[in-house]
Amino acid sequence: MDDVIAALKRIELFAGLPEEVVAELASKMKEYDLEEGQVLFQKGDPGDALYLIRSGRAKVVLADAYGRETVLNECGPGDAIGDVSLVDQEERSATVVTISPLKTLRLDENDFLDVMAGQPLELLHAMQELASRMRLQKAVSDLKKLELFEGLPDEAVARLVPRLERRTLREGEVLFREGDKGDTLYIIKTGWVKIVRYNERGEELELNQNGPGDVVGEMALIDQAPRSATVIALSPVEMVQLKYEDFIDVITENPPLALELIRTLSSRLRFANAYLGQTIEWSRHITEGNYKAVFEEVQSSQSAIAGAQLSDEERAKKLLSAFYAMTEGVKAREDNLKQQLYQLTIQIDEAKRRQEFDELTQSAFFSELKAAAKKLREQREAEED
Amino acid sequence: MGKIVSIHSFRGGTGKSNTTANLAAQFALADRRVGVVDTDIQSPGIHVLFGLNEAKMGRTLNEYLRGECTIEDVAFSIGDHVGEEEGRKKLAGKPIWLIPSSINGREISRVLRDGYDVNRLNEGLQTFRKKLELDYLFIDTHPGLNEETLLSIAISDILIIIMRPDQQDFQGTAVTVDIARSLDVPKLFLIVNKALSRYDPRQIKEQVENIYQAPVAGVLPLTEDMADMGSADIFSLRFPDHPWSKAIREVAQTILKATETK
Repeated sequence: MDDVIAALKRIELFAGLPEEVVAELASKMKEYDLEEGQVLFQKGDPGDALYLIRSGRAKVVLADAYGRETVLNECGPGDAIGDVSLVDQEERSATVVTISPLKTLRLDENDFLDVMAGQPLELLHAMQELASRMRLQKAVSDLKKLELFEGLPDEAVARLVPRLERRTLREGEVLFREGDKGDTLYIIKTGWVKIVRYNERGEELELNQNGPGDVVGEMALIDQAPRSATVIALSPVEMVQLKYEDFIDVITENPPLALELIRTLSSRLRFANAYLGQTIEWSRHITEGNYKAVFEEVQSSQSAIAGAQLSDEERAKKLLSAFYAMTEGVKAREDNLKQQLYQLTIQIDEAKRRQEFDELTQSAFFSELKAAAKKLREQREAEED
Repeated sequence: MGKIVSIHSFRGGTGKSNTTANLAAQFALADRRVGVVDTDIQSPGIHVLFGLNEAKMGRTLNEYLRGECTIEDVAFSIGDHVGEEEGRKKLAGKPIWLIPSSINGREISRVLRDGYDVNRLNEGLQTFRKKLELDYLFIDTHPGLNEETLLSIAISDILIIIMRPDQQDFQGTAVTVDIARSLDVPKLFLIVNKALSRYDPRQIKEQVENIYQAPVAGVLPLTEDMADMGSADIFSLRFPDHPWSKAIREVAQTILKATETK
């Protein structure tokens, strides 16, 4: 029992608790065992218990948009898991999976609350505040991983946290459409989206892709005009979103953030220039009939490795290649037309011609006709004069 | 004096009657006094393009040839009977007359059996031309070189030979051109009809003019639109902006220019 109490005391959240309370909590704990490879709890599950590992090991993991796991931490005997959720009653922030047979002692939230009910209120409140701060700290360090907030002081980011709502997208889900009224800005944490427009025939033209750390939709917020393109998730996406009023407050409180946004817009413009420049270049080749040059570039840009760090020019080419693959069709049609202008060749069998002429003209009828025709013409000429 | 224009083909199916009707209509639109005679007594057809059927037909060339009436009795005024079709309506009030041949089966077998006097035919044509003061008399002939068609070539001031761009037509046209020259026809024009779009019309014109040493008045495109219309109306009047119609107007212009400018 003593080692349990000792283990509980080591938990940061319980550090301020009196000895008797810790002992009482210890007595409420029950055995809870798992086999290897079992899930203790999932990210998003309600925080309904705390676990103290007696033997065995478990890993704390986060899955990214494609289900690929990142191991955040590993725990073993003496470690406590799930303490923060127990105290602040928020959702589990990660998934825990056993990597060996695991023996734990489990403290249920109901038992925890019963014990704390018998204590002065401030004690529980102090714990909850601490838990909240711990959670906030985690959120801040999370956000600071994003380029946009990297340079901001912690307190500034901390002030942002309550204003940033979480948002997820399913693969293929539309975030917003061209022409929509825009009052929200998004920052992608995991996953990828595509920025597209549609022509009169409803055909899609991909203008850009954005991924982890990128800001999406800031233009509508800044110029108050309708959305300039449609954004669609290419994978499951996790984002945080910031509404217009909060955005204004945040910028006012943190002028450096405005500079970060300007930097984002600036790099967008650079990319747009590269994109435009590339379309003009390829279009010019086509009008000159130089299809080969375009083919080759289209093919090589399509085979460029996905996800590799591409320059603006390389990225523009990759995005445009689908559209300019149409060059093949243009050339094919032109070749077809060229092929189809046949040459007419006329072959006269001169011998046969001669023979048929002789047959026709050697009759008596023909000689008479010829004579009569001659007379007729002479007559007519006389009449005309 | 009015000019006699024979339209001739070595083989059937070249679009001769259709072209004749369209040409005559274009001349009428150009305010010339026009007559059309269907001398294809064996298989008459041009009357359909002018809206005539068995019910509406009055006197025919057959009756004239048997001596049963005068040629003026047969002359049908198209300008006074245009009917409802959009294209033909444009000929309302124009000086254009038709001398049709009978489509009555008995009549046809009768004339095939008994034949007719070619001189009487010739006289009839001359009278028709004089009496109605025609500027142009178009003669639609039976395909091939036979006595009747040789006669019409012999009396023509202008001979138009229509062919399709195919080897048999080319061969036959060569003989016809030789005959025409032998009969001293003053003016000869060639028309290539039903030309496929995969051929360059300019190249066709060049080749044909080279081979026959005679002017090509037009290369007319093969068109599904015309096949669709059949003989229901006069195509170049109904669809004046169609490429075929534009081409036939150019043929008319070519012939008018060659004939009327001194």
